[in-house]
Amino acid sequence: MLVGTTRKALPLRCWPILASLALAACGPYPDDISGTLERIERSDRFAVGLAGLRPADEQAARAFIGGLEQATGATATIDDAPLEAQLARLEHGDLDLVIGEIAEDSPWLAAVAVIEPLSRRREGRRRLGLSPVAMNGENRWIALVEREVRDRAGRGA
Amino acid sequence: MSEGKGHPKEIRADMKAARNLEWWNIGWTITYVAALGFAMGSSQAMRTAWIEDILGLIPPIVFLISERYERRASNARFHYGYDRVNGLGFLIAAVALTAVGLLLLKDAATALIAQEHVTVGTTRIMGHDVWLGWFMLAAQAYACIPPFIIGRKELPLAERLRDKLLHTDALMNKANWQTGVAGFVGVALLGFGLWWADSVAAALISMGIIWDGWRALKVATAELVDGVPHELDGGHRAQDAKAIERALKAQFPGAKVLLRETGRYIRAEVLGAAAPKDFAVAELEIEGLECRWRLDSVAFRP
Repeated sequence: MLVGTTRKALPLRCWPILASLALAACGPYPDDISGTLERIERSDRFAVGLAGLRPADEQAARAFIGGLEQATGATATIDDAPLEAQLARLEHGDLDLVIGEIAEDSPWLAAVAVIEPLSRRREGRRRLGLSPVAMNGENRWIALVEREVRDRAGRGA
Repeated sequence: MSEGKGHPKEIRADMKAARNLEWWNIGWTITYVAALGFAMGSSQAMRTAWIEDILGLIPPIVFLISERYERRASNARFHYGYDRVNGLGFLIAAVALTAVGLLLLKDAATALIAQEHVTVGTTRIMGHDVWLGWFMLAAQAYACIPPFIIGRKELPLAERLRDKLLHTDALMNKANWQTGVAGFVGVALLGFGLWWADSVAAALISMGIIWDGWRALKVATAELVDGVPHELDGGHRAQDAKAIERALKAQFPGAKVLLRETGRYIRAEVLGAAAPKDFAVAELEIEGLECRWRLDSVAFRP
């Protein structure tokens, strides 16, 4: 029996923080809400939609997809369609990634996760970024795509 | 005090301590508001906690302004001085608090209904990709510490000064660090892929804001409509008020005693009795009145 101990128990309200940190130490963290990366790793496939890119941009996009294939060990299935249609399919979960030219003030910015652009250009008064776009909340998958964008930028590709 | 200049000498040291504490409160709040602002990203829980922490600046600012006014003497325009400036500022803060709380609750409910998924990306630091959620968690953990300490220091001062604004600020600080924990858990669970955790945490935090606002509104309006002095937590009639009422009723049997609160002071009115010629408030014997300075004046209506 402990008598007259001077050690104080942790306040009850600290336990949620400690429990969260302990749980974060096990398994992938952050994880995807819809499990995109886990599915890609399991199925060895991921679906990418290109959105009406100019030839030079399409070449850059395909090289980028090649990098993602290497990083995930999965094969990409690629198709091409207008941007609005591709983003709608992404939002619906039919695509894992869209690569298209997104304006900095696009109304899609809140609905999907627009990642750092592979390149930028100006069209009239708008600034467009050739950006990979993922479904919102797929944080582990987004982290992988972001890493690939930065690695490519670092290599000057 | 109303007709004189400055605070009663019995509370001057505590008022100075409260003033210093509120400056520290503002300083620390700015640091964690900045930390949360930089880290919040698109997390609803972080945004709600951030707004709550910004709102947490209102009570100390209002306290410092009203305390300055309270020290002023009465003048030709304000015969009763500025005792109630504290209550006026408090009412404005309470309305703002409640309105923002409702707005944030609506945002959180909308996000839950729409099943919005929150994206938290990464940033590259010295060649390493670091999940921004870690910064959010660190900022949220830091934001729990100052309100925890300051709130505990404010409570005894508020009790001694009978200061409703300071007392509510202490309770808000308590709510702030508790909702900080809720925000932390919300972001942490979001990292596990639980889309609803962020919005649920945001909803809980906004309910805390509404609760703060509602409690502050009750206290502020009670004073505004000349309510009988109540304890700081708003529950029971103040012990000081009971003691004053007992003493006046004993001295003026058959008379009706009315009490009201103006700021931290109590004003009494005796109905159905004339003021004795040699009556002086300072000499009135009041058993059980802890803070003699609270009784500002006694008026008579024969």
